[in-house]
Amino acid sequence: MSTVQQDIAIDEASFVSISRIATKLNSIWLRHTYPFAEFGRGASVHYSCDIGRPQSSEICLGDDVYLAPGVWLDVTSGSAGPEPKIVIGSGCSIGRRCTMLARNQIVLEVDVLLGPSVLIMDHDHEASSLENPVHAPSAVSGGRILIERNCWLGIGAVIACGARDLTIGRNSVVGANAVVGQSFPPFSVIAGNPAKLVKTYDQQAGKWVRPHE
Amino acid sequence: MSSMPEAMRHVMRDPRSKTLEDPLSLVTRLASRFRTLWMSWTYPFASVGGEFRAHYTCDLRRSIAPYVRIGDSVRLDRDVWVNIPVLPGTNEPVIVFDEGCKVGKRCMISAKNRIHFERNVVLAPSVLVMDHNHAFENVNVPIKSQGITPGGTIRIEEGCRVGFGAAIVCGKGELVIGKNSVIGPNAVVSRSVPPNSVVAGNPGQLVNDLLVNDLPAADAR
Repeated sequence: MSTVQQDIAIDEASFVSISRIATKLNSIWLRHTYPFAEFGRGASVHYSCDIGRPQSSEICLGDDVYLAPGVWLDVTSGSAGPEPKIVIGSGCSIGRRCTMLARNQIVLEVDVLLGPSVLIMDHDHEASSLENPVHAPSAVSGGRILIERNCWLGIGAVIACGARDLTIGRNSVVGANAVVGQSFPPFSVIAGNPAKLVKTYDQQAGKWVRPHE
Repeated sequence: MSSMPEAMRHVMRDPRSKTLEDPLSLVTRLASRFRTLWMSWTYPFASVGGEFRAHYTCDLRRSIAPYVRIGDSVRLDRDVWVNIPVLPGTNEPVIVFDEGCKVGKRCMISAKNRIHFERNVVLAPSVLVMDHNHAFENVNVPIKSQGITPGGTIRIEEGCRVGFGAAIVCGKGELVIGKNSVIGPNAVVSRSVPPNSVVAGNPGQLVNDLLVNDLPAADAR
């Protein structure tokens, strides 16, 4: 009995390590053959991630960044300027199936934690002209998105700005499936669709409190 | 930082220099191309248009193909799931994609009666479109063995865009998303929407001023 269980355990371990090796090889391949603006020490990109090689020169991954399976990073063509369009700071962990679409700039400071299925998008598509079919891709200008250090975005959250810059202050928490379209100060807990401020950190009391208290 | 030779890195980091696609991506592109051709030639679709493109990870079973009609230039992205839980008795198509529809990554389309995407509808990633539901009335039976409700029909009219993670579910009757409407990200829509409207939130509500304000209907490209 115990030998059977042991065999299963070994089998599973070997499958897990195949996936790990594939991810390791993928990270090495990306580091050496893709023109990343920066590819930090210890950064790990799962082999199922979708990052275009032409776009990678606009992407900056810090040290120890982890991109989970199915992450999609993309930079819209037509964006100009020398600075990278997607900056993921050191120690950030990007959850499964996260999507980051940049036209202007998306910056994640250090130690930002993204849950699964998060969307961060810094532009929108022109919808106001009815003659213009959606398929003619005319992205509106949008703004820059800055997510400061130590934030945590819950599963399915959407951070998207249509017209102006958007900043989420440090140590903020965005609830699951929240849709955030405006800036929030540091130490906020944000939730809902559209997102509202639910809690904020009281420095004197040293605890999280409802904003009107 | 990379251990690439310094001179080479300089060349590659110039943002204006043209970077070639990763040669390894040819494998997935060929696989998708092959899957599309295989589907177009051997699946018994109600009809399938030219320039149909499906990613090789798409989940579309052969048994439902007679009830799926695909127009010209339809594109199904990675991990899209097109499903018909109960095959209908009639020969009417159940899922119809008109010309130019784009379905984003991980979208799930499940139809029992009829889901019709008119021309140039764009679904962003992770969208759910479902015209039926699980029956749950009997508390003594596990929900998974209670089958599905009769449901209704869904029609998404020309030029609509559905934002990231939105859910369009129809319990009964006919749900129509009017022409050129925009559904915001993570919205849940279960009622009909007039043409040229913007819907956001859960439950989905009309918010016509969204076009120029903060919240864009984030969508796929």
